Amino acid sequence: MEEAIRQFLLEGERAGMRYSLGTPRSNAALTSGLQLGQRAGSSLEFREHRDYQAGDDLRRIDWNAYARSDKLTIKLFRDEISPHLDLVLDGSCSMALEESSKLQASTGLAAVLATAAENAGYTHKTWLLRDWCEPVANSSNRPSLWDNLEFDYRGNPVEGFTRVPPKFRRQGMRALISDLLWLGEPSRVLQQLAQGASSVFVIQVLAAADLNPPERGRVRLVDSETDEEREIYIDDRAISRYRDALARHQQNWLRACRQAGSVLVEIVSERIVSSWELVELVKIGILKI
Amino acid sequence: MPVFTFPLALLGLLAAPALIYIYWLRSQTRKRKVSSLLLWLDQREMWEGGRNIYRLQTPLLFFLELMTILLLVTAAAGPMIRAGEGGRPLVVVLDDSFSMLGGKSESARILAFQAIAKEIRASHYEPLRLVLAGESPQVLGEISTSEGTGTDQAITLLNAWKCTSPVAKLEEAISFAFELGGTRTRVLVITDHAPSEEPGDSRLQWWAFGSPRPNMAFVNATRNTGDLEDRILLEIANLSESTNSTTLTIKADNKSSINTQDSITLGKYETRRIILTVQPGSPALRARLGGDLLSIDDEVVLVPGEHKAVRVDLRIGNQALRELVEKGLQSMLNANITRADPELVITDEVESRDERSQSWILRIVSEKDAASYLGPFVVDRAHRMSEGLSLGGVVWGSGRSSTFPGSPIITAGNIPLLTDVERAGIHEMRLRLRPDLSTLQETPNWPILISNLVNWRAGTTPGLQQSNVRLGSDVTLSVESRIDSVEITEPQSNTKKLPVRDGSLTVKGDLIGVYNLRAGDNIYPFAVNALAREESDLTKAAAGRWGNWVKAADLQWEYRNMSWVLLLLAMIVLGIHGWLSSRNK
Repeated sequence: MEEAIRQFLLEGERAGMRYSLGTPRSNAALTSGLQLGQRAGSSLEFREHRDYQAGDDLRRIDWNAYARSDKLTIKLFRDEISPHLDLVLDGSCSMALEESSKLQASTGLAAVLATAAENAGYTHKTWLLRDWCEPVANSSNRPSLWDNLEFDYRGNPVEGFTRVPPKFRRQGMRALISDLLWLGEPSRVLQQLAQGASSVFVIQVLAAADLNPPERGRVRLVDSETDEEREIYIDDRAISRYRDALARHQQNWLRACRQAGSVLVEIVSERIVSSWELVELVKIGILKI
Repeated sequence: MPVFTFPLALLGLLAAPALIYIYWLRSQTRKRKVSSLLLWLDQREMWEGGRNIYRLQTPLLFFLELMTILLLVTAAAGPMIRAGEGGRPLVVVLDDSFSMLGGKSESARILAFQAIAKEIRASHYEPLRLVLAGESPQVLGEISTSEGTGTDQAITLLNAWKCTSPVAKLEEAISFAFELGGTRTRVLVITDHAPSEEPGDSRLQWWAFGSPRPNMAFVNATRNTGDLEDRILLEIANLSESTNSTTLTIKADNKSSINTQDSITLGKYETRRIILTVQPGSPALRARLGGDLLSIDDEVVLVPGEHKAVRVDLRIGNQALRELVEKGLQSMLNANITRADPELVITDEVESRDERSQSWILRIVSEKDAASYLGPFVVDRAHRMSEGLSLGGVVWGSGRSSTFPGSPIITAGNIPLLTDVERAGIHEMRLRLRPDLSTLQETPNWPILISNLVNWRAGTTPGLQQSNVRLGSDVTLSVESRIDSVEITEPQSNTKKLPVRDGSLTVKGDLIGVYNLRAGDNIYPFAVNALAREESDLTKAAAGRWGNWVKAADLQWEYRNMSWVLLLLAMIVLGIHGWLSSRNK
């Protein structure tokens, strides 16, 4: 593994000391676990009562309260969630795009999440998505001790995900860090990811160059994964078309994430590596300060 | 081939490689790695070029821009093309003097002949006219080159260019050529010497084909016929920068009389005069020099002339006046004073005239009422009686009356002094003179007057005025009134008959040799010799070409500027370029 990647992990580890892992608010797949979630759940720790609503589990009706008040009341307990984080890191070449901070942001972000998970009492495991989803060596330890992180995969990550499905821990949180710039149906990945998970969140790490195309003029674009070349005359129209395509792509993923009950967050690598202020993740509750 | 008015503008063609360089730079695409080409898949291919970035990208716009540059630069250079299908008129002025023959097989005429034929083959002239420059300009012919036979026609015409004139008046011929050809014409002068100055008219070119050569030549030859002997004068000149020798052979047509051959050595530009006397009526005499590179002036023929004496009857009562007239007549070789059948009567009698007489009359009128006149004298210089007169300082005593019969030949103010009345070829002149009030008789003008009168009268008698003339001179033959035509036999034995007008015929001696004029039963021979020192002198001959036809101002006459066409094309190409550019955006 490159020393630079270790440095990025170390940076992320330091940054992650400020955070602890939370549970995303929009997660609908929470089930019982070891940690108490923010939502009502099936743990034994009582949280509150509320009026019965159609569709509520009849087993949770507080009959004692009904006897006293002749009113159907539901007894809510704190949700118990499994305190484990499976972190899937996209190992394709595009994550190490030249002249960008994508590699630094991705590895650092993984380290932040792992450290934040530890801070929250989670166990964690990191997977590298290449031709198959392989566990990162020493990934249960501190991020700075991880090993064999190589971002040189030139295939489609969807195939890697489905070829040998990873053995994620059940009821655990799962996070995918990727630029999502590949062809394929997002739901295939998300279904795989969400199966048996307590919550899933997807962090799309994009370089500034991914959001804003290169300079105008005659440019020979080279795909960082396939080395395919394409000569394009970039002008305002081309830039507009590119941005439209990116927006459509992100909309596809967002739609798929909603369907799978997961959360999608976009991170611009160049913005976060300078200060590691992960406002976007804090805002939706993935991280807590 | 087009001609460019401003060829320096062609430097603008350097913009073409600059444009190619710009396109080459544009074809050098920047390489940029991206995360994925996924989002670029719906981009169109570059319309400027293909995928091969190592080759110059040459789209249609490049060719349009290149074409625009070429058109604009060419337009700026001012391309001129020939106007219409026809060529430009050309008049070739040919030096017809015999100096063009110097050099024999390498003479200026032969070299010029070849150069003209080459020029006609190389260029298109329409029409092409040939003018001979001799004593006076003469049109040799006109050629139309449109049928592709111009060269053959020109060669046929040029064969008539003999170069036998004693002089070439090129200035007159050039002026004539411009009048003949018009303002658009070009004039090409063909000669054997350099122009006095570079031709100022850019329509004129001067081609000389001469070469300096030494030449021994006859420059003068005369034969004076007298009662007792014929005097022959020959002048031979060495026209070169060095001493030269030659042989002089003199032969008479009847071989028995004279047959001599001498060697002559002459220094630089030396002239030797040789005088011979022969018996009156001796046959034609031929003098020949040893051969050199110009043969036309190496031989002279001198035929015997006719001794024409005028019978003069003096009917003058005034003794002093008679002595004056007799003194004047005695100085004339061809005046015989006699009373029998006079041809000229000089008298002081008043109005005594026999109407049947063919005699000319000079009537000297001495009026009592007279005065001396110092002038100014008005002289009719066209009259034969005024030849050689110089009346400056002369005192002329004459009557005072301003009315006097006859056409005035000499007047003092409005006072006629000498008048002439002509009736059927018979002249009656009146001379108003008071010798006691005049100095005229003491000046050379008096014998000149008498001589003019006698010679004039002698010239009107049947026969030739001159029997030996220089090449190009006119020879006048007077014939009897009954003769209405004369048959001429030229030196090459060509015979033609010419009509006689007013009792005389003038023939131009433009061929070297002996002419024979037959008038009735009489034959009058005369000889023409090439005697022209200037033309025999070949030392000043030169070769070269002067003048330039291709000048901007003159191009407008025969060429048409095509810049506007190119500018129009450039605008069209730019319009297409703009349309394509907007369509591709």
